[in-house]
Amino acid sequence: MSANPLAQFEVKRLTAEPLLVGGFDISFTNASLFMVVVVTVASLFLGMGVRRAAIVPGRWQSIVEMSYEFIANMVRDNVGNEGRRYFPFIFTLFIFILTCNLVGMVPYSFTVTSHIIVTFALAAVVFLGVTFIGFMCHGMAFLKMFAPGGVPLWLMPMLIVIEVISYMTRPISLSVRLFANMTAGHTIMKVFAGFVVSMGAAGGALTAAAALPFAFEIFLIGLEFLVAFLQAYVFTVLTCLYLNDAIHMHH
Amino acid sequence: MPQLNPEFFTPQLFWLLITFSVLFVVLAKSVLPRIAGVLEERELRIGSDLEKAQQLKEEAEKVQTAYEESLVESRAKAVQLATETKAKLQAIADERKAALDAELATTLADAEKRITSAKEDALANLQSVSVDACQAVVSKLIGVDLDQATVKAVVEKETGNFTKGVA
Repeated sequence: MSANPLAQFEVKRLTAEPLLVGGFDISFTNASLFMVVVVTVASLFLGMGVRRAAIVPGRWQSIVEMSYEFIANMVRDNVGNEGRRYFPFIFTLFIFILTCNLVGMVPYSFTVTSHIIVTFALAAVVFLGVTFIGFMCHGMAFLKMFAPGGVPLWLMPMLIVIEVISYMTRPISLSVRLFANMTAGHTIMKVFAGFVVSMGAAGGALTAAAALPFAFEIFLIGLEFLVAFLQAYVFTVLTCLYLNDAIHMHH
Repeated sequence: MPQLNPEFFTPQLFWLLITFSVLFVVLAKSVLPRIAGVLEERELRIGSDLEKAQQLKEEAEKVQTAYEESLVESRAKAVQLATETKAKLQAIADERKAALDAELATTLADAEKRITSAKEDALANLQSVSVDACQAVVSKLIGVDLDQATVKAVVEKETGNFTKGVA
């Protein structure tokens, strides 16, 4: 492992030559490998949990059911009954992000969600999908969302510009939030782990003092597990809220 | 920052699309329906169990009411039976007492009759003994033999007063 705290985010081809299809590079990389790992782990965990579904669930089945009900309640509370159609996508989104974040906590692994292109792609899908659903539900009336009622006419042009900008920046804030949290957290963990190693190797009083960054590292790992869950939750909740805006047009 | 290296944007996007789609299909087609099925089944089961429990409870209450009713009924019957028995026994006792009273009264009357006749006999005997004694006493003392009829009249006169006093 390199001492560079950013080295953990490096993407490497697992094949000698780049795999080019139609001029696009679709090489299988360590990031791709961990995406496959994430999907496999998530599918197996959820699938095996209800493989022999019992009326009285065991521990494993309970966790699977709890995750199902957690997202189902989130969709119901934030979107209402119309959100049921989108529940499978939202559940997949939550499970994918959560599993990416948690698999990233395994030492020497790769955190898929620490890459802005991945989080942005997810956010863009949410953004485009929500916009599409908005137009599907309300037609051109969906554009009224950018012109809130009860506002003086002279203020309208400025307000519309602000509303449009705030709407357009949604995918950016959504993706950057997740990417920045994961990147920052993993970088700091790496930095403090580096402190422990270098101070421990320095000898003398510094070796004893290495206990401090070590203790902090433990705290950071706990925090990072919290962040892993919280960011998956935030991403999903915001998706629900955007979806609710598109379906019900609150303003 | 390696994340900003555009060299790996297309492979990331391509594999994200593949893996996310696979996860979506697996979850939407297989896992989620199964979880939903389990949850629904459990809800149904709980609902039917609750219904059954309610039914059983109602049944138990019915049985309880019937039991209490029969208890009250049998209590009343028992009281009635006791009263009846008591009355019957009282009647028998009264009857027997009356019979015994009558018998005792007869016995008593007989006894009284016997006593009376015995007394009369005794008095009669006493008269004849007195007459003989008087005759003997008079002849010994004054040497006069009184005729029996005269003595008897005197004795009868005297003892008539006496028996009147005794009777």
